[in-house]
Amino acid sequence: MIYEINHLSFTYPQANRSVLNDVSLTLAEGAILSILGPNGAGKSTLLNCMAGLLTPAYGEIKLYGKDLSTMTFREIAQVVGYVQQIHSPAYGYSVLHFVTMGRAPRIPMFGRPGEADKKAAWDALETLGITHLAHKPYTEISGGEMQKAVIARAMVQEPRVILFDEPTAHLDSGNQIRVLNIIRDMAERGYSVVMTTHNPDHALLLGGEVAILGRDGRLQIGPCSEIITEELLLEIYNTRLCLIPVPEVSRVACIPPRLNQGDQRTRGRMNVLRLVKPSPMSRSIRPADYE
Amino acid sequence: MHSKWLVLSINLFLLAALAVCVVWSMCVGKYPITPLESLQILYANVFGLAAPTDQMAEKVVMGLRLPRILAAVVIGAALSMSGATYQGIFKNPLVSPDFLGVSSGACIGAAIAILMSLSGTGIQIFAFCGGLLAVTITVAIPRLLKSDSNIMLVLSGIIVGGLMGSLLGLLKYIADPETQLASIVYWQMGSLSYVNLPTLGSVMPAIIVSTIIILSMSWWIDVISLGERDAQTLGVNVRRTRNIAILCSTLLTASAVCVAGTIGWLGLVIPHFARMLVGPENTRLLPAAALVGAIFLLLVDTAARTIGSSEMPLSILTGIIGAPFFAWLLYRRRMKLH
Repeated sequence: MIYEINHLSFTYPQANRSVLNDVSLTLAEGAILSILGPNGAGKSTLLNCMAGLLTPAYGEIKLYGKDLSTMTFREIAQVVGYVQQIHSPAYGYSVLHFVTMGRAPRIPMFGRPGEADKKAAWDALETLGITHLAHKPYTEISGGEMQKAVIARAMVQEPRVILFDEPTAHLDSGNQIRVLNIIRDMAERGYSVVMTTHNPDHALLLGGEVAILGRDGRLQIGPCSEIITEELLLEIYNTRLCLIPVPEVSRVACIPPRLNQGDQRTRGRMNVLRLVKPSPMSRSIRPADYE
Repeated sequence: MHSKWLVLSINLFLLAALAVCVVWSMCVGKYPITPLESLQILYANVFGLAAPTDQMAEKVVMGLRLPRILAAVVIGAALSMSGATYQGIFKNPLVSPDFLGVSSGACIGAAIAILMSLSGTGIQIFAFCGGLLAVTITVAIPRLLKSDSNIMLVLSGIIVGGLMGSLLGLLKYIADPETQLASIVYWQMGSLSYVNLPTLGSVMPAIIVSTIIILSMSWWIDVISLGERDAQTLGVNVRRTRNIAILCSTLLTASAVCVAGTIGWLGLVIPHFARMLVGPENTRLLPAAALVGAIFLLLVDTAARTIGSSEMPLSILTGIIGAPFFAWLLYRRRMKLH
């Protein structure tokens, strides 16, 4: 087990708002875990606790059996890579220099990266196919390219698990899929992956396990096919989302129904549609559909 | 981006420019000396050879100009490195020793030491404590307000700077106008005219140690400049590393204040200029900023003692050059953002 989290609760002291409520989960070596939940449920808080940036009010987090709160940032960084939401830094370091900083947990204090560290950074750029950006200032590349640079930086840390906080936020559709492919690829290379997302379809695309963080701060966890149901999606997002097997792409997709605002005729038709008996396409989803 | 060789040749060029400026500064003034003569005097004194023919020229160069030149070079380098370090660890290109209130804090410390009739070391310790107190308050205000924005730190620096300015006014008000007031004003305006080698020598250990520490942690300043969260996920003990950097750069500023009083704008503008030359990486930026700062302060100080009939305070000249340059930098940045 990489992570063992038991009865975790977190309260923001200044807001007196508790976001995580008795959360327990385990993460095995090489596992993929997507975390879904409404805005403000504490997805990022959970990741921040797992990265050791926040200290939970109650409960414990064990990383390879060791209590996280007794570990230094350096010890954690040698095992855990954290891809936070991208932000523009103050200085335009070159992408290569930026990625090389991922070696920090393996460079002695007051030391500097050597040739081997620069080679590792270059290899990560090659893996992600962004060597052409190596000498460009990090402040002058696009959002999708920044996200890849941050992922490359997490890779050169040589961690066992990588946490992604909404890796697809602020990216266009093409870059969203490219980033998901990279994450999937990294899981196949043996990294464990934890990802938070606002898009249930991305959890379906990635597969593996899914954890749902509810409004009450409680967590349900299980295999993707068992956890994601239309009822649960309605409960999380307070809006109807459909799970439809799409034969053309041979997978189940999560898509919203037609928008019900606008003129009355459309709304009337929607009501009619709901009354007709279920077509074969909208039957309930069986686990086999996920394969 | 800049290759290793380009950066090396830029640094070599700066070093050569500094050497030329040093020789030039030895020659100009009320008692003009030819470059050849000044080099002969320097050579003879360094290697303990027979004294050259012109005794007067030797006195001017070795007794008056060379200590000033050394002080200008050391202080220019110290203030620029201090500014670059603050800008890195606060991930904020708008801060500097003067904007953070460090300079005025150190100045108050020095003024209190003067009022207590303390000696050189006493002034140095008080200046350091004053500077450290000022930067601590400046950093604490945004923390208390739970704001992480660049502007909040700058505003907080203005608050502390304003407070320190009033306190300094109070100290001047109670100072003895016959003896103490003049030396406090001298400190406030910044000047190298009373510099001598013992004063410079007394701050050199602090400057050398701080410089070595800052240079050896320059790569880690880059990591911290990504932001606290990013640096922590990369395994950096941000608080400890940042405190070491703050201590060292405050020591640099306080040492500079001890020798020359407060010299504005240098610590803000020179790192920006050096960044344009060698890029933002602190491993390259810090040495280049030190060289550019040394050249700049040497030129300014030489101008201050040669323009006009009496000495001009340094802050007047650095302000006249620094403020428009900073305005131009802001304009350039804005152009780039759009």
